[in-house]
Amino acid sequence: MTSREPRAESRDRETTGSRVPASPEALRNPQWKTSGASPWQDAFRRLRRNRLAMLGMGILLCFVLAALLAPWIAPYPFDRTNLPYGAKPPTPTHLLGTDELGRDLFTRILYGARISFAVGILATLVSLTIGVTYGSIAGSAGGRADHLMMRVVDILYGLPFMFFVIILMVIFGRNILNLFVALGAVQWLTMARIVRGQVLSLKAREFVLSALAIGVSPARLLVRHVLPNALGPIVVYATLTVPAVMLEEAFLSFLGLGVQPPMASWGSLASEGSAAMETYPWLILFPGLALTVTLLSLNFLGDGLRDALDPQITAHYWA
Amino acid sequence: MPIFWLGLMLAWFFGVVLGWLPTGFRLGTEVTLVPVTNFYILDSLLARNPAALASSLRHLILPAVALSTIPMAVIARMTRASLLEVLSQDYIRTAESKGLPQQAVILRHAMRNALLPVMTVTGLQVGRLLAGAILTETIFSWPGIGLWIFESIQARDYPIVQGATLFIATIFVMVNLITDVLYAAVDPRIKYD
Repeated sequence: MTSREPRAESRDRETTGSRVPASPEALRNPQWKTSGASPWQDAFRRLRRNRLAMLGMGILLCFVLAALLAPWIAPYPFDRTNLPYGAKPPTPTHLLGTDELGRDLFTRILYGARISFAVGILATLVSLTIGVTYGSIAGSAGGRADHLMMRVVDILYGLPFMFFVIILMVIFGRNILNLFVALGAVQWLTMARIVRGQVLSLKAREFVLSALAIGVSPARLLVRHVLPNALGPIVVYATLTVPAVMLEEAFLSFLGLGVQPPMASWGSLASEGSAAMETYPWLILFPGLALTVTLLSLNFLGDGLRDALDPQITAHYWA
Repeated sequence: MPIFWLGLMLAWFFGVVLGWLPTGFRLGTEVTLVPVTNFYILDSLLARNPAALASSLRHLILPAVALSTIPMAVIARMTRASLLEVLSQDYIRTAESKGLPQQAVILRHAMRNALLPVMTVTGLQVGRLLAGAILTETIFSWPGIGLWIFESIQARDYPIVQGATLFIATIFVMVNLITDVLYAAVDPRIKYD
């Protein structure tokens, strides 16, 4: 996924849309609070018109709900084996068939969804935390510190990060917590660049100057005034990070470095299925299908969000 | 789409269901070939052995398709975006108003300028290809560094994983360095002092 630095024009709208508060009680509220709702509602309206994005969102909601409710809707316990039954193709009692140990594949996919979504979301949170912190420090420090910090990002960019995850997993051991951290730790680079760019351009704006003039501390300025205005690109990029991370989790699980049995993620299910592909093709078909549909939905939603929050880029590049 | 799933589905559909193509390995057992360079296509050409050439080419198709599809999609998307931007430039309108055929305008005037960002992305795709090679080689039983890494991970032979990773990282960095240097060759406006 190539990500682009958001253009400056896109942000102008967010603040020009704000009305100057006239009444005294409105003046007491920080400006971004009163003006923030309008562009977001605007974006949501644009998003709702995007059929693909809404379809993706609907599918995702179903999957996430199914994953959350897995213990209640799953027909069998996820680790219940039935050796005499063995691997059978889909039947009405086992909707998606069973594996060699007689475990119900539908149940395993439901529980796998929990792991896959958890990895996707938590690793994205890790990358969000590192990226936003790093980017906003670089952007607000400016000068030599900014230069140095961005060169570090450039250098890290020049390295194949998938192999870093492999090394991290190999060194720190194969547990699920390391998986979140390792995946998040290599995904923050683009986020840091985006946030830095946003902070740099927002820093030059009048509302930041006026906040400085009334003596707001630098940390508070960043957290309360600058970052909320950079939220659009951050949200868009975070949405696009989730599928990337899920894909990497599947990759690692396929290599045997990810989730360990008896737990299952979609990647490890597909990996187990691939061993017996010629005799039991459904074992690889359904986990892979679930993963592909989810990734596609997330990408549609991410692209839709980008279009909604940043219509000028859309018109030019993605029309 | 995850690359291992694509590879497995290709192998399953074309190899198992249709039976058109082999699902793994580099050469059929029905042909014999004395390895010289160990590049089987070169070897079969050197030995003037058409059966071995056909067999090694047939064994290449599925892994090649599986590995190349995703980078191809990324590069195609980048080319489209870049070309669209270039096509809105003034000099394109100038070229069109001179009455040049559209093909010449696109190929000679627009494509050349649109290729710069595409080159960067292509260089970055090499990293993806190398990571994808781990999966592709594993699925199609090709004895390369990727399969070696996979087997070392399975066997917990971590010095090999680290060494192979370092090697691949070096290749990736070199490729990106070459892409940067090629910039100057493609675009005479860029000079490195």
